[in-house]
Amino acid sequence: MNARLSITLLSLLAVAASADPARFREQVKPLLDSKCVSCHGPDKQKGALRLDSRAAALKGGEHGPALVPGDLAKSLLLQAVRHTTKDLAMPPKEKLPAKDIAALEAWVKAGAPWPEPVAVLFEDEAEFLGVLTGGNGKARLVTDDVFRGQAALGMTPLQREGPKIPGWNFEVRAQPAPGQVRFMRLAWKKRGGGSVMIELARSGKWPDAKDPKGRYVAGPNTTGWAAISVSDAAPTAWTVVTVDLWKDLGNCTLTGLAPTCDKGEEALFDSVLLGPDVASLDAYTPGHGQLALTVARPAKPLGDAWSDPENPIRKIWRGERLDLWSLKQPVQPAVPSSIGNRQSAIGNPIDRFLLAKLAEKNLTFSPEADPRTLIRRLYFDLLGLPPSPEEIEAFVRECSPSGKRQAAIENLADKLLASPSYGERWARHWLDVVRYADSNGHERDEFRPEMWRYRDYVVRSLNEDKPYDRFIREQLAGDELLAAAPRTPAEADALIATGFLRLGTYDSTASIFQEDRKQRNDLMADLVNTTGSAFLGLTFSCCNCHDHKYDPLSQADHFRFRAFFAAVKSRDDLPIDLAPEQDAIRTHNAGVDAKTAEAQKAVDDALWPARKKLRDERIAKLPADIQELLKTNEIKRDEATKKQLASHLEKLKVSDKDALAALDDAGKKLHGEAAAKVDALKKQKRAFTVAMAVSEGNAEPTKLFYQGDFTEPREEVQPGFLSVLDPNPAKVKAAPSGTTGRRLALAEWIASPHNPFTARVLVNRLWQHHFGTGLFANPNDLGYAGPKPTHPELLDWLATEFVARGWSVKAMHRLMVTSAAYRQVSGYERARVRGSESGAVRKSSLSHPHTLTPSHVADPDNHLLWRQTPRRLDAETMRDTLLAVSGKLRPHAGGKPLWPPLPDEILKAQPGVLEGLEGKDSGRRQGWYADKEEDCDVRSLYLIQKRCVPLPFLQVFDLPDTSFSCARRDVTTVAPQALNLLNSDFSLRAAKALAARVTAEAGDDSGKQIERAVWLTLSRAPTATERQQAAAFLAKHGKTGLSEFCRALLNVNEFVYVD
Amino acid sequence: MLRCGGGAGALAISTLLADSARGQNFTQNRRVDLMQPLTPRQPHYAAKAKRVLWLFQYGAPPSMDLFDYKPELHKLHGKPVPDSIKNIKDKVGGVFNSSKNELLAGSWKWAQQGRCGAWASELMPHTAKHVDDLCFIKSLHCESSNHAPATYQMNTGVILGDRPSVGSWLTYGLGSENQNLPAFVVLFQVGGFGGTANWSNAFLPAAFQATKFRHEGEPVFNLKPPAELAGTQRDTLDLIQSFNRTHRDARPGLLDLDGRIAAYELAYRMQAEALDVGDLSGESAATLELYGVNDPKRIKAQYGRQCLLARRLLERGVRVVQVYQGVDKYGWDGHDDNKVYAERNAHQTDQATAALLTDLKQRGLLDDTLVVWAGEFGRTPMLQGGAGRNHNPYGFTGWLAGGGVEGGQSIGATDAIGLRAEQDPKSVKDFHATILHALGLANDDLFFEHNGRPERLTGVAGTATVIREAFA
Repeated sequence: MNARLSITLLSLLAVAASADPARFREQVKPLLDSKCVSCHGPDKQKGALRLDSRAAALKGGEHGPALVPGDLAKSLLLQAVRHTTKDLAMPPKEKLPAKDIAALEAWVKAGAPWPEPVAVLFEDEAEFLGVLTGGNGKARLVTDDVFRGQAALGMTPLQREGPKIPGWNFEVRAQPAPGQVRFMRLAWKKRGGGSVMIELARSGKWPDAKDPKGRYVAGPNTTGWAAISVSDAAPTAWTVVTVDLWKDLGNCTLTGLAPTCDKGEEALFDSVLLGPDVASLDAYTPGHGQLALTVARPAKPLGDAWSDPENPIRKIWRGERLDLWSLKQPVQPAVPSSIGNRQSAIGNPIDRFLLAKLAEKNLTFSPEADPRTLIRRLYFDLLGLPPSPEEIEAFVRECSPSGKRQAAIENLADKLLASPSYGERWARHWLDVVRYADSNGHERDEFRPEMWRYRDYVVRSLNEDKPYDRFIREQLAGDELLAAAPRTPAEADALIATGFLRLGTYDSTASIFQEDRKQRNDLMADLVNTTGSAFLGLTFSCCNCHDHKYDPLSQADHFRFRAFFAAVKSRDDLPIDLAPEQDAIRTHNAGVDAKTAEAQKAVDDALWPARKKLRDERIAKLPADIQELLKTNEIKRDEATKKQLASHLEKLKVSDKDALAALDDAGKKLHGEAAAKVDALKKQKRAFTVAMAVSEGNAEPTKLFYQGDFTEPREEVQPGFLSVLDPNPAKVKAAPSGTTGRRLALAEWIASPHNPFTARVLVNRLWQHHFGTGLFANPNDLGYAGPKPTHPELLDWLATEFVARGWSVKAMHRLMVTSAAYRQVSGYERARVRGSESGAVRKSSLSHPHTLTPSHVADPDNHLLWRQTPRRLDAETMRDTLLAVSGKLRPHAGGKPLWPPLPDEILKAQPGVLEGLEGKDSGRRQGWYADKEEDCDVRSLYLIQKRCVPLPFLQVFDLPDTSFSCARRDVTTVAPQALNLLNSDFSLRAAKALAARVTAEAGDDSGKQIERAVWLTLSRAPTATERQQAAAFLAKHGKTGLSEFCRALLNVNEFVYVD
Repeated sequence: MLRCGGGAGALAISTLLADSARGQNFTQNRRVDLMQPLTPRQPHYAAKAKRVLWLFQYGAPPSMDLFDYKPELHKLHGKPVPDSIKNIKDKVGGVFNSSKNELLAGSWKWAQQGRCGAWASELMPHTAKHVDDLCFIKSLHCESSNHAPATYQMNTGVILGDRPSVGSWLTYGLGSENQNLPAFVVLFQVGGFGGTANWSNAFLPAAFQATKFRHEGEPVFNLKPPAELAGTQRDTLDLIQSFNRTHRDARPGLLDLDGRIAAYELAYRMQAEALDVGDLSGESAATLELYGVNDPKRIKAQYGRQCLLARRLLERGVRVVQVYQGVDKYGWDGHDDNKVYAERNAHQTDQATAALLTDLKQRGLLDDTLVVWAGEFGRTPMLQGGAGRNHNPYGFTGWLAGGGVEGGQSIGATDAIGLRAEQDPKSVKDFHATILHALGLANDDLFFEHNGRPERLTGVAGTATVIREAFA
């Protein structure tokens, strides 16, 4: 607006710091604006350079800083205008006149003074409204009457205030250094009489009411707060005010302000500028300048790192690291048509992708494994259990003739995927990923009595083939999906699923030494890290303290993710009964409560005679004047009397215990009956079925921690996704549950078909367990540090296919296990033919000379999948298989975990357990609550997973640590494994049970026993040599022979490796 | 995953090659053959120490009652903490809130010991005689006031209990010199706060987890079959191996199978060797006496036996032995009565600790064995309750001996009352870097790539400093 009646309260002498600002204003600025800013300014940023602010010029662009104050040679701006090098000649078409170049040179030599305000407010009022958090006045955006720009701030009486505006920390100094200020300028206007005032907060505090310093007023001041008067009359037109803050306030730190409307209708404010000198304020042009400390956020949302130079990740990496393969959303590639010479027979796209790659090296698949090998592989892969000899025989029959094999395999895959054991097997893989355990860890390591519901939820979800996107939503935000108490078991499952957010370790002793904040920091980091690893394959743990070292992730990204979890509230008592049941329980309990109150009255009545008697006796012992006072009407007593009586009244109260003791026998009987009734009633109260899960509370502000240190909080961070893809705050809508909706927003983003990571990560996990190694080898890391995918097209095909098939995990299993690739032999072709089928036994030696196949020579590590990969049974499968073949495995429908008995010596590893065993844990359940040995003969999934006491038999076989997500277990081979499998009680019992089973099923004939035992354990008939050896062994060892033979079979390599 | 590599027996667990295209500065993980993971490996540089013995003082001993002599504290007994100390705010916080503002000086006598003249109280008279071999570090500090997090940190570098322990890192780095015994052994009557996570391999392969060695009965769990099967054992093993060879011969190139065959033979040899370690009958009466193995006090005798077992394991080439002093489940944790806890723990461990130093020295083992004595933190000079001391992560004492360490010296110091490390503070990371250094491992170069990060015992940030002055 034009009405610029400048009232200046200061001498116009320029502050000494800026040398000759006139030159800049009159010569340099017009030059830059007319010749440079059109390509290097707010609209275009050629060469990533802007020349519309000093900060931007100092920072420079692709070639380096454009401006180096005082240094002509290093200032690229000057090199450019001088046309010294061809590549860097600016303006490109026409060299500047010599006098303009000289003006620029003189300016740079003088230190390139560039007056500009340090901060500008009120140019983006929407932002500004938000920083004024207190006060009674109403603030609104005014767009029909502005001083400048698009909008101004309108204020009704009395004021809105923000004593600590984010980003405000302006030091006021006489001679401001860069970033410091001295002068403030603003435009204001008053409607409807009264006055207009602005208050300034210093170091977070408002000025004292009697101290005028820090308040400026125009018009009659009726606020009662002293203020420096700018004019007697309120401005009825837009008026610009400039004040010398340092003169009025001295050295101080400005942290906030309060626009104030004293009487009248409305005060208007616009364009608040802070600057080191008046010239800097004069230099301000709206819409120009990148002012480092400006509060206003950019007017337009930022774009992704590829399209927007302002994207923070692009700035961190200077445009590098954007080629990371996993950042691009997968697009379904065409299935290769040329796949070597087997193409007619191959229909499964997986095979066509693999064969196409093999064909490039003139390789192809190995032959198909025999049916016996296949059924064993399928059983272990899908169920984690061995097939029975009968199932093997039936399958082998179904596979013959070979034309029927494909159908037989598909039938078998369907049958196994429909088995409840499938969910148990694959739940174990998922529980590794989410670091499942049944206890807290740390010093006390308390049992989590309801955690198992999450484990069973995973089993159920897999068996139901719950779409994976739903599985994600439930675990991250199941509670936010529900508007009310669950109405169906599926809705109850959504609540149980949020147990995912409770699976991390927890130290209940942290609060003893006020380490709660540290603990919360750890918990939040753990949630972000695990969510990143489990669903996205991203290593957020690397950017807790600093920007990621390899991947385009920033520290801010880690904290943006934290903000999604800011309102998570741990619940150990979340009711999961269905709504009608919850209502019924509440109604029932209310009824019981009413009856209890009634019954309680009877108890009180029974005590009354004694109570009265005791009270009277006590009163009789009081001084007479007090006794008199006690006779007065309680309600009418004055304060003095009340005070006088207080201590006596306290002593007159008769406790239940005293009253009971004073009752006569009849009274005692009466009381006893009444009290028993109360106790009986209390027992009638019903408890809710509860889950260990979360609900959404209030979101605490999330602050970025400098270097990850929670004692060094920095700026507040809003929930947001990966900045490389979308640096803006996430759009968070209130959830159906009426809660913040933060986690639901995150869940929706992760479970979106457009998320580039989610589907790839999951199909890769499946692939890993079916083929031994993932298509990218580290399933929790698809960043730069993780190995690149061996078959990127196949991976993308699978990922998109997975989404297209409704996120059906079972559909993907089926696709994988029915492929020709899956059915290949796992060994070396040549040797297989010579070795197992001829039955020849060669002499032992640790090195076996053999001829390498061409495939082996070309691709020794089998990256191209020219054969299957043999695998050792993992810890749980090993234990489950021992139970299964010995006939001891008990079916189990889930529920509370079972506690196998353990020797005291092992429990003593953890003092917290001893405290529990001795009953000194105040009911925290720190101990070990052993079940009967035989009751524990269930699948290992259902055994207790106590963090500080891993089960020794499982631990020795590479059980993963439960503190963090494990995507891939190690397979090590050490002597203690042999000792365990040979000599542990568990193995010995299994061997005996197997011997008993063999005797029961094969009778007393040793030949038949040998046959049966080998079939049960190794899924095949014994060879002639083996029969001979076994017979000799049995003959030699008599009574213990068979169980010893069985023990041997449970230890052989063939038993623990799957071809 | 079974890896069927082409010929090379040693496969890196997870190899990150220096890849100039990625512009990263990875070096490789230690090359470990998962089939023979404990094969000895060279250190980064020549070093004196070949093995480590850590006498872990869990529950937290009161430094100012044992080795950190504070005359000022004795003068101020019963008085409040001087303002000059109290007013220093600390990030960890908490300890002041649950302690009284009243100083407690122990009633034990102090004297200078040995040639070096180090002060020691009368609580550990036997150990005090060895001060010329000990290098005290009196300015240790850690990051938590709670037992489990601090014990985790002392053992694994981080307070969360999710990282490999020092012993796992050392065996990952160096393998073991005796393939017939576990490489990393832990001995306890009661383990430290937080349980097995204190000697866990965490994300390192399971081969580097500790094995509990028992001081009574069979030295290792499941070492032997029950007596009635002892006679058939060799035949059973032969039968297993016969099946294994047939199976293996049909699958040439699958090196895992050979590894497992070898592991069964190793297990067989381990039976003999472990039993031999546990059999003290060959020890002289003088040695048994020295360690107090037959002391009438049961716990003291057991600790003596554990220390003697530790020596027997070390002399057979076991890489790392950790002994938890294990007086009861609370260890040194004297909240309610400092005197009772301090005397109980000191009296029951002093003799055997000193015996170990004597015995290792006379056998020439002290030169290449690093002995570490430290707990998770120390205790406050302030009173807690009527007669106790509270946890103190701000400043506490540990000592090193043998393995190239220069004895008779003291590094760092706490303030006048023994509350906080004031001079030359040493973090747990520094302490760990020093232990690795003693064995010839550079803490910055010993790492394992896990979930995208090159993890180290001393953290990814690389802020640890070896306490070089500890070495001769």
